[in-house]
Amino acid sequence: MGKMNRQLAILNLTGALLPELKEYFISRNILVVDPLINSGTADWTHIITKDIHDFNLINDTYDLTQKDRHIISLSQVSDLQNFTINNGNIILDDIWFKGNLGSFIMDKYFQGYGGITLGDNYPSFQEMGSFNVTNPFNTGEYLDRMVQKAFESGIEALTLKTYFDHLVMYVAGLKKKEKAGLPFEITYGVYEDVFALQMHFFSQRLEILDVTTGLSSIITKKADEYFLNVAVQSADFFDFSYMPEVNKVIITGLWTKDERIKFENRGLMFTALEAGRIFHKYENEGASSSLVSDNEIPDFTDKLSFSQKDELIATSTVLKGSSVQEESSAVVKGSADEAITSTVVAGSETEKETLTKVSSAEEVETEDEVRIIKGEMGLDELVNVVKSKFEEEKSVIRVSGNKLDIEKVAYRIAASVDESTKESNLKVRSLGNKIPDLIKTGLFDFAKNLNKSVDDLGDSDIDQFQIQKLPEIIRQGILKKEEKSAARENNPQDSTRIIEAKLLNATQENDKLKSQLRNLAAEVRILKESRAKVAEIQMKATKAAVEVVAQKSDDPDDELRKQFQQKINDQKLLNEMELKKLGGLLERESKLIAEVKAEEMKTRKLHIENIQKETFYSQEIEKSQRQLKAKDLMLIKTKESFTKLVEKKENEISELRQKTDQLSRTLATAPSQTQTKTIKDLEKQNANLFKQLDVYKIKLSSLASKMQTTKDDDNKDDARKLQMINNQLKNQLDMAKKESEKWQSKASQDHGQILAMKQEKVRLEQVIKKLNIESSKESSAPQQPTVNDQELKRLQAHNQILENQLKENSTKVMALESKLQEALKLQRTGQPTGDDGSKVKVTQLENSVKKLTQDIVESKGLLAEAKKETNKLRQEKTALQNMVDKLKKDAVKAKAAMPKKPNGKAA
Amino acid sequence: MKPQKQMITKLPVKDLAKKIICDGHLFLISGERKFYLMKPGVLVDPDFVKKHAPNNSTFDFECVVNQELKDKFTNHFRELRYLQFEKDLRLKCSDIVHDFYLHYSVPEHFLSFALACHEAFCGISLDDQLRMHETDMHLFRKALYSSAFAIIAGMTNDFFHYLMLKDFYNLTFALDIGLCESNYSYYVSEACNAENRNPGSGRRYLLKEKASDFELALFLKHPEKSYQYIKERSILAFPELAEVTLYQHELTDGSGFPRGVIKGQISSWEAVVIFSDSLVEILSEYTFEYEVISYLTNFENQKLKDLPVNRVYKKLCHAFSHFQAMKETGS
Repeated sequence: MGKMNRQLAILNLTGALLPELKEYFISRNILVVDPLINSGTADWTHIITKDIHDFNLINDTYDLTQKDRHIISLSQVSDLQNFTINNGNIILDDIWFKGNLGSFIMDKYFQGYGGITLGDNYPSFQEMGSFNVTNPFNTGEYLDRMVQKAFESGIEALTLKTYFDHLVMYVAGLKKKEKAGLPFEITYGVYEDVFALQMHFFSQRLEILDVTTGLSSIITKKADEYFLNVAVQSADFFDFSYMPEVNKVIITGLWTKDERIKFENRGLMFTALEAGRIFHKYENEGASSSLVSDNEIPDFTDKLSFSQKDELIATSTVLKGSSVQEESSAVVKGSADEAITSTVVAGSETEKETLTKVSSAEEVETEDEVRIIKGEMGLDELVNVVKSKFEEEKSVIRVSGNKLDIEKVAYRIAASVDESTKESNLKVRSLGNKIPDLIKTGLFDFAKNLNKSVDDLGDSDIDQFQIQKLPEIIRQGILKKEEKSAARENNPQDSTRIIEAKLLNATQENDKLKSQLRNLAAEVRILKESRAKVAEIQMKATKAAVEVVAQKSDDPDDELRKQFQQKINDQKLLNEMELKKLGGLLERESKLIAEVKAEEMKTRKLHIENIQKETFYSQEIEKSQRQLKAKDLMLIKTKESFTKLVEKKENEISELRQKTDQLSRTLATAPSQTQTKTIKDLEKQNANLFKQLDVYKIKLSSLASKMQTTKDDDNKDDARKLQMINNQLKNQLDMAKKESEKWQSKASQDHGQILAMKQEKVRLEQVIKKLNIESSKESSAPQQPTVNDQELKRLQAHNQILENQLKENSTKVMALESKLQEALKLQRTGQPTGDDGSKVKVTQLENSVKKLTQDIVESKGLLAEAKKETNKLRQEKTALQNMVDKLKKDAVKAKAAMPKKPNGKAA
Repeated sequence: MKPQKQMITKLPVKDLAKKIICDGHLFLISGERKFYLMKPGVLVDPDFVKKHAPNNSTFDFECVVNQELKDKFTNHFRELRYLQFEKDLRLKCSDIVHDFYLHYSVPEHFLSFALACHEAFCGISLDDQLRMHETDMHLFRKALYSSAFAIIAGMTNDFFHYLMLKDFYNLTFALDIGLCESNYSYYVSEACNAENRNPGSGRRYLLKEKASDFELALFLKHPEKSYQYIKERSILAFPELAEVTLYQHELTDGSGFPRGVIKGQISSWEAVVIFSDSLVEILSEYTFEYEVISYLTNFENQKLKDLPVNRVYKKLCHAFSHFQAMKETGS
């Protein structure tokens, strides 16, 4: 954060500060700037506000984001998101300064010290326990133990539990986004009547947006949007610190038993800590392992009813006076601008450590800044204007990723010195080549304003130029560049629109401020009236007193008094009547005295009250006047800035107009060669474009006509399409027919073959019969062969089987034929008519074609099987034939062997 | 106090091949002479096994590991792995630390516990372990013992989750894996020990000894190399924990290495790893092996001056003193 490198100065927008706070600032050498005196000139680092809720306005007015200034609010903030986005860091009610924690928190904030353990962050706290969360959904036992400790310490443990649950879920959400790492380490402890709970975890890429998005006050379905807000609202003080050096986030919640700190006084702090800045060592911390503290957790449910009782007690208790215990408070010595700041914790027995040294590294220029200083590179080349994430209007000037310290760089550029020399008193020494034109012209203008030439400028003048003018010149230069580039992107009309919008906004804001002013004026009027009324009452009271005195002067008792006085003077004795009268007089007198005394007391009281009221009213009036003045100032500033902006824009517009006028004039008077060329080019381009236009027109007309024709012929087209499909289907059918014919012819061939085979079979049977007859004849002979009979029988059986198979095949062929006929029938019936129902027919045809193709496939399969069978049968046939041949031969042999009959014939 | 010598047995080469880490002294007795072959706590070299396997050689072996104790811890870790609720996890860890305290207050070799831890938690590949072993046998032994200490330190510091403990183990084991290169030398190991004893002195030692530029570079860059190794192998269940390897030698005043950035404010889990790493030196005689508890309770090191490391150490000692009190009262 680099807080220590700058002199701490605070712009006070709250009016009168609390005496404790005032004292605190004085003791820490922190300069408090009054906005009515020197807000413009002083380089303040923080701004204190109270009862302000629109932080955008504050940011716009005082350039908080751009100048790295931070807001401290001394009252509750309605929109935490808005507060944090606008560099809001700390919310701490005045009431905190009545105790000893307020100054400690402020010290912690301003000095940025702290560490990742409770002892480092809040050194006075005594650690009561610690645990690590490795599974965010498994924290029950730890939480119970912690709540037990909180109950023992007398802290409202329900809020603690709510806080812890929501915080753990928020961090678990960050873990889901890979912005937080496990484990989450938790420590809790107490210090007097304050209970603290601290969590730290590793977080590498945490952005402010991750924090602000969790601070929404609206409860929606997306729980991670309000988890952090609930946690913040559940703690009396919430401290969110980030340590960029070690990528760790430390979140601390504090709960106090102090009756003065209520819901509306709770505090909040966002800080970036510097690593290694531990200022305290707490010896006892972290000494106990929870491994060994495994005692049972007692039941504290009865405590829940106590909390209600406590509330009742709280309402009846009288506020105690603040008793600041100096012994236990942390006192931070030394001013912020000192190079080494030491922090001493008074009252603690631990060793006192010297704090870190402020590194001088941050004062050294970056490489790019050195290049700018040396004149090697122009500002335009290296400077980037970075737009704000949240509001487009805001921008920061950056060089090599870092914020450009314009004052420092400007000073060195003007001096045109080498970075390595590091001179302390640098001045503009020359107007050589290295110094940018921007600075040169600035210097010339400056000299002109002083009615001097550049050479006559004295040291004091140059100092003044460098300190006051130069940063502004460079800033203006950069902004001009940015505006120019923006203007290039947007046309002038847009820019005027933007200006108009800005003006509208400004007028709206102006109206708002005016209404606020009116309200304040009304308040002042009311206050004045009340004052007048008080004065009137006082007047009346004095008059009444005078009247009472006047009435009393006519009292009969006076005569009695005079009489008695006379008698006392004459030294006469009093009779009984007179004594009675005297007694009555005395009684009346004593009553009167008592009444007078009472009246006196009343008047005194009235007087005191009056004085109190007067002082209160005067304070209030003063406050409101200050606020009024501050708001006036803001108004004036905004007005000024807007008028400047408008002027600038007007100037630009007029410049642009002039330029266009000039150009038009030059065009009108004498066109140069280049202009004629460009005109010719433009004419050519124009002609080309016209041609293109014609072409497109023709295209358009043709497209239109096409559209017309397509509209007319829509139905015809459909019919044509259907016809086409029909034709295609017809062709397919023809093909199918041909295929079926082919198969038919094949089937007939096969049938012929089967018939031939049948005939052959019959022939063979006849042959066998003949042979049988012959063999029967032979059986009469003594040497009859039985083997042949057996073989024949077998052949017959085989023949029977073959016949059966043939029958089956023929039936299959028949079935195929019938199927083919069916298909042909379907072909004949499926003729398209081209009517309205053609579509249905087409689908029918398609289906029939499908069927046909399926049938064809089936018939092909069957045919293949039939072929196989025929082949088998052929083989069988040849085998049978062979057998028959063999039998024939045997028979011939047998015949030859038989004895011849007398008629000479063989048996 | 070293216990009496264990029984010397004959160990066939096929039984040796079954071991990853040697759990005893391996030697050959030839006549009156003894040839020492392997130390306890070193990797069993596969080449050595290959060489002797064809001959069916047998070696003389003196085991130092209590197998029963090792099995007991192995069972403990197995049970821890499947526990879910924090209370159960805490009680289991309490049992483990209690058993550790009871057994290691008597002379019991620490290797039994280290081997059980290695079996249960080690996620580093055998090749990388071999690489480490080949670079320096002591470097491997140091990693084996210090990572076992990380388990006890983690448990006594309230880290009970199995995966978290596993990450502690592997982080401690691989903390010096960046040193495993050809430029590793005696000087580098000594510089590591010097750095461990007195943070910031390692570089000075190397310059004093006129170490080569390569040695210096190896020493100064090893945290980054170890970090790269862990990131590439993705051996961690919680990858963000790998950060600790980067700044194991960074100091709060910015005088550390490799980047010289200010890295104070370490969390307790980081302190567990750093503390465990500083418990064992690379070239020491490992006196703690039989006297672990007294070694831990009397441990002194410059690193203990670092507050978070000191807290980790205190918690460890607190747990031990509690168990000691329990032992004395008999409760």
